[in-house]
Amino acid sequence: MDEYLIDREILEQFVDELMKQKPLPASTAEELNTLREKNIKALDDQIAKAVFGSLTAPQLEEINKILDSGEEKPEVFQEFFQNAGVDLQKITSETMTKFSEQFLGGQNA
Amino acid sequence: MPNPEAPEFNSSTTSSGEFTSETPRYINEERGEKANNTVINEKKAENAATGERQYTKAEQARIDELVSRYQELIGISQRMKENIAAKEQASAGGEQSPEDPTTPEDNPASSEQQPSPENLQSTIEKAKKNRGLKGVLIATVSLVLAGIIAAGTWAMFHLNGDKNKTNLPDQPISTEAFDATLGGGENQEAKGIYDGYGEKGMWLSENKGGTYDFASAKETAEACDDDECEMMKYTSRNQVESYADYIANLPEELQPEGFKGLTILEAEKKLESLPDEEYDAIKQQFDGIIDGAFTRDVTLDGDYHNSYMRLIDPSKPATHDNMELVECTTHESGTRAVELYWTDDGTAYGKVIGTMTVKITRDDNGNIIGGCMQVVNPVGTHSNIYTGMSTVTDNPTPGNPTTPSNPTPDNPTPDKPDTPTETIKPKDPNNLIRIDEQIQEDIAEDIGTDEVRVTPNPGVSDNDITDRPSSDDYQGTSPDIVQNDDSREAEPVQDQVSPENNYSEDRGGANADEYAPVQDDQATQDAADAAEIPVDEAPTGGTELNDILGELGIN
Repeated sequence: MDEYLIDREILEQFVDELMKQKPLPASTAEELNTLREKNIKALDDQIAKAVFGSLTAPQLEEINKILDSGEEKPEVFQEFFQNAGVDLQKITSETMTKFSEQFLGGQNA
Repeated sequence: MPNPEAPEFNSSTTSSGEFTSETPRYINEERGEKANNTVINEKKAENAATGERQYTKAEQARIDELVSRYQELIGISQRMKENIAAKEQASAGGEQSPEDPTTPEDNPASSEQQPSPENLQSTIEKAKKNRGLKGVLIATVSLVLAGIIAAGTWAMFHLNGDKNKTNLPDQPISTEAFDATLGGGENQEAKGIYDGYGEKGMWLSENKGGTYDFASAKETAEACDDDECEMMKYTSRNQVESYADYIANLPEELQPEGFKGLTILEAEKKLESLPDEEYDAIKQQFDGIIDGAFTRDVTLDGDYHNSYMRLIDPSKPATHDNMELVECTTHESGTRAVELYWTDDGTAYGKVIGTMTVKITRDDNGNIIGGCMQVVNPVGTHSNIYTGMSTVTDNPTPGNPTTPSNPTPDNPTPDKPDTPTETIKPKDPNNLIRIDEQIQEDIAEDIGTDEVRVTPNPGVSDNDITDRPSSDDYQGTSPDIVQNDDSREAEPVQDQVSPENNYSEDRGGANADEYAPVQDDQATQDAADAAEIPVDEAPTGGTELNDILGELGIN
């Protein structure tokens, strides 16, 4: 559960669709699976860095305090990002778009 | 020191000819500047004696200009230092990976308040354990993904924007769904699919894990003990599409009767139409042709015609009728492959009459590690044999049009051409190929190795159809290699610089006074490169600065 920030199923859905858009006919099943796993992990990392990298150091410190307190109410974190001026949808959408462009451009294949 | 009063034009030093490395890099705006400099120096000496500083208007203008230039150089130097420091900080922080699309400019946070990479990673790890925060992010990403699907913006990801291509499945299925249609061996039998063998030319792998996992080189290698020719025969026995691919790619003079000049699709149709006895006869002939091939390792670079198997309708079972060979173009960069070649005399070093390359990849230990059992052809060659096939264009390197490419041997001769064509012959200035051939022939005659399939001289090219002598024509060797004669003493090196081209001393001339010696300042170049400042602007490691400071009487 702790390996990914975003639900793996969602990441898989996105990566699988990308891999269908860019067939890799010369790859074995093992190679395809390895590539798939690599891209799932990369997408998760990039979304995480994009989201938390958009915070300033003081904001990061603040969210760390919330996390350290054990708070798990989603609305608390929603309010935090709103107050921090972070548009999560925009950031994730841009990150996923850039990821797609890189993948289909051959860099992630 | 030139005489500034009477500069002379020396006909041996031209003002418009080619300059050597000692050529000055800049030209002072006024000719005879050294005359002015001499005046300044004399004036300084005079002022030093009198304690007063008095300059002419020209001198003052020159001083002002030099001061301005000095200040500019100081500013450039400062910028260089800042750029270098920023780069060092960025590389030490490791924030930007090559694949990371986010850049500091994307983040609204100012650079001073940017969190450190360690804090960032630590927060991310904590976030992964927090259900609340994860929930928020999961919901956001789900929303984004749903928006993409609902808006149909997957179209923006289509490589091939031609939606009229009916051969592309409208609803591509996931790997799991595809595997579910196959099931295990029992289910395959129930559907009329036989694992390994079955209806004519049908072959599937039990280890299938992906949509396109047909004709896997690695699994075939395991079944055939890593023997490429056996792998070709095995695959052609069990997959008629691949069989057709091979037959269409054989050298025409080796193709079975009735199959000469056919496209891959035509060859497949013909094979499928044959009665069993005739089919078996052709297969026997084909196997014999493959057994007669020699093999060598090659490396692929560039764009190649390629093909792969896929389901015509992924929602239906993987039967022979529901499978097709599809043409694509793949861009290869250093891909290891195997080239089969045939010779006119049936020996490894005979005249090559045709080749066929298959992407069977071996590692450094010679073990087959993967690849594809389809034939590859450089784009622009054998293109006609793909006529009529469904196509899916792979993604060539952006900006690089598909160009003809040729497989190159793993150990090319030093003069291997970069863009080989059909007519290029290998260069062999020292007759090394002939020498090696003679040695190999001597060995063959000595131990009778005609039946041994060997890796030939890597200098041999598959394009060398006319230049390679056959063993029958070989008349012996008289190598033209020049050997070093160590018995002779080394000859002293003579100074080859002719007097008129010797610019080591100033010999006057019309432009001699206008040039200052060039400083070969590699350190300056490196610093300029690091700071991304044009070298012309970069302080020249003290040369120009020192000159300016000297003229200003500062140092």
